Amino acid sequence: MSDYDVTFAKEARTVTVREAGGGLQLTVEGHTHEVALIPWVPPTHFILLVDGSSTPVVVMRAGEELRVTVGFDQHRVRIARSVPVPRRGAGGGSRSSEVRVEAPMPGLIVAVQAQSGATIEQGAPVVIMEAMKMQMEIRAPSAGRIRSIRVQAGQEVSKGQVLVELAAETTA
Amino acid sequence: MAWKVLIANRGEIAVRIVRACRDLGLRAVGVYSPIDRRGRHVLLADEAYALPGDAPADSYLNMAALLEIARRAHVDAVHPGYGFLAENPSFAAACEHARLTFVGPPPSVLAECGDKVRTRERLAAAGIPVLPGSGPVTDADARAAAERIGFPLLIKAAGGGGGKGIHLVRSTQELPSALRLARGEARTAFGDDRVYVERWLAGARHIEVQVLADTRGHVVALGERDCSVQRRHQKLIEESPAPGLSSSMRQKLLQAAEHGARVLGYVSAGTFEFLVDGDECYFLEVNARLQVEHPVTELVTGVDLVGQQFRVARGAELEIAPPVPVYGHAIECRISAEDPHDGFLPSTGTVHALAEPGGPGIRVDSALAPGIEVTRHYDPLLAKVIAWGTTRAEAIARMKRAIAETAVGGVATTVPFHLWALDDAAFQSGAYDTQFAGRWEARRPRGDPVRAVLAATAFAHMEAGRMRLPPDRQNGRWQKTAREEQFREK
Repeated sequence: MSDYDVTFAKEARTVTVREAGGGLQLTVEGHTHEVALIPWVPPTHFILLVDGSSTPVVVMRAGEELRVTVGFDQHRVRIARSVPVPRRGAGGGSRSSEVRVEAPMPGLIVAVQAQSGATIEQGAPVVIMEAMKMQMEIRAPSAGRIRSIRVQAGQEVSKGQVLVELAAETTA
Repeated sequence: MAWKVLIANRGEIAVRIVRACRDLGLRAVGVYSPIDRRGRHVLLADEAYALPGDAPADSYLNMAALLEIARRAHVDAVHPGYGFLAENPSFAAACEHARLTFVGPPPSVLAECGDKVRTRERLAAAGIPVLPGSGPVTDADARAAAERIGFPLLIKAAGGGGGKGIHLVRSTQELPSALRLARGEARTAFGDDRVYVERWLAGARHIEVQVLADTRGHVVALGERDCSVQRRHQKLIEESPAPGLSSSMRQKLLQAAEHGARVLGYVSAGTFEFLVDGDECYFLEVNARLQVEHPVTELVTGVDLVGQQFRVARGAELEIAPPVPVYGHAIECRISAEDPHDGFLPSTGTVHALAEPGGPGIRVDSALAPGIEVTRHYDPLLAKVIAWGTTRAEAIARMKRAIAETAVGGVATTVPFHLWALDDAAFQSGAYDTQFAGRWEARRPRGDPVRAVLAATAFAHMEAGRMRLPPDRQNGRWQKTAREEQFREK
């Protein structure tokens, strides 16, 4: 038997999983369901059977999140094994004023607009990217000073790669 | 001996052209970049030859390499598909020079249609209405032109179509960045960074007319297509006939397209694009090529457009004469590697497995195969699902069924968008315009969140099962610590 902490739409709940005769029994909010997740088109598409009724679902991992698509809706779910280990310290550290501008898609850096050390406004273009013949301006999510530029024109980047680090102007 | 055709393209359109060659008893020669070496178009062709690199300039835009392959393989003709070199007059001229038949309009017509500003002027002079616009503008001139024409407006690439290099501008402030992006895209896509300015009509419909013309002066319009479901000027859904179009407007559009084709001395398959706003219609541009959405016209007219292109290219007369009867209704959904849940950004990766739909009334034009790589180098279009029905309602019902069966394992696709659109009341009623796709962002969830929680938990449990350490190796202290850290709350 294993417990999972599932966070969905900002609400955390515990789901208990029991392996029973090749299938799974999942208990959530007092209701127990017979559940099977059958690979249909691997590695992302499954047929979800809940108490015998089937729904096609798509599950993709995106960093710490699972993106679960049911019909045309996509739900972002955070999930972790419940283990009674206490949280270490509080929060993620003190460098909360540092903002990392990440590549929203894999592609090619066409031009770097930002200059190291420069102060820029929120929404100012920092990098121009191109993928599949589409160009896109990547803009500063907040005002601040450019702390470092991690890419250069002509470079290939992957999705989520840090492009520019920004010291945000005002926090707290 | 059978005509031998080099297909200077990739993806689903190369597969489509191989199929036309099979149907007509022609021999098909494929080409491929290193990434595409196992592509479906390569496997289906009679012969296939390698191109030196993956980047478009090294592969499907590489005129020298393509002409060298044509020479080595002793081909008679070159079909360029759409995109890449399809509308490049220099390539068409180079083919002619090498005594190869270019399956498309002659270089002079390509040059004419490629200069969108000039085409607008010629057709306006011939009495076809156009929207207010400018000639090619420098960044300095653009502001004055924009203020004269009025906002909202579009910055458009003068040198090519396909929705590349088009940016919407609502105010003077947005002008500089739109100019920069449009020029950048135009330079990459067409090697020509000239742009012009054209008025934009919110709430209008994008309707285009398919034409075929032969070298003997015959021109025929094959009905219209409504392509109003677009995002970032990229079409997502097309259908024919256009729902709710009055027969007088239909006649007006078909006549304008036939007249325009005669004025331009058009030859081969081409598309005349219009904006329709109430009782008014405005010519936008000619797409001097086979169009992505050509199958909807094929399904309602029964005409093999690629077959007719080959026929015209061999100097024969068209087999069809106007008016072309239209039977039933056809819809196309484009399956692209773009994530509708993430702003339609491109999604790249390996396609591990797939499920394509079938059944009554469904046609699938696809380049998908297990193991193919979706890369940033090429257009994100992976496949097209086209549904035909005796009525529009039947075509929609069949399309809903087909899209629900469609799955591409490994990359995000436009499938969820189509599920939503086909179920939407405005789409179903036919009363939609170019703003329609924008409503996707504002949609309300209709799914079952409990199922999402159950699916996520079952997925995580299966993943954990695969990664679980064998029990006898869990004893080390550092391993225990590592396991604890793994489960620590962040």
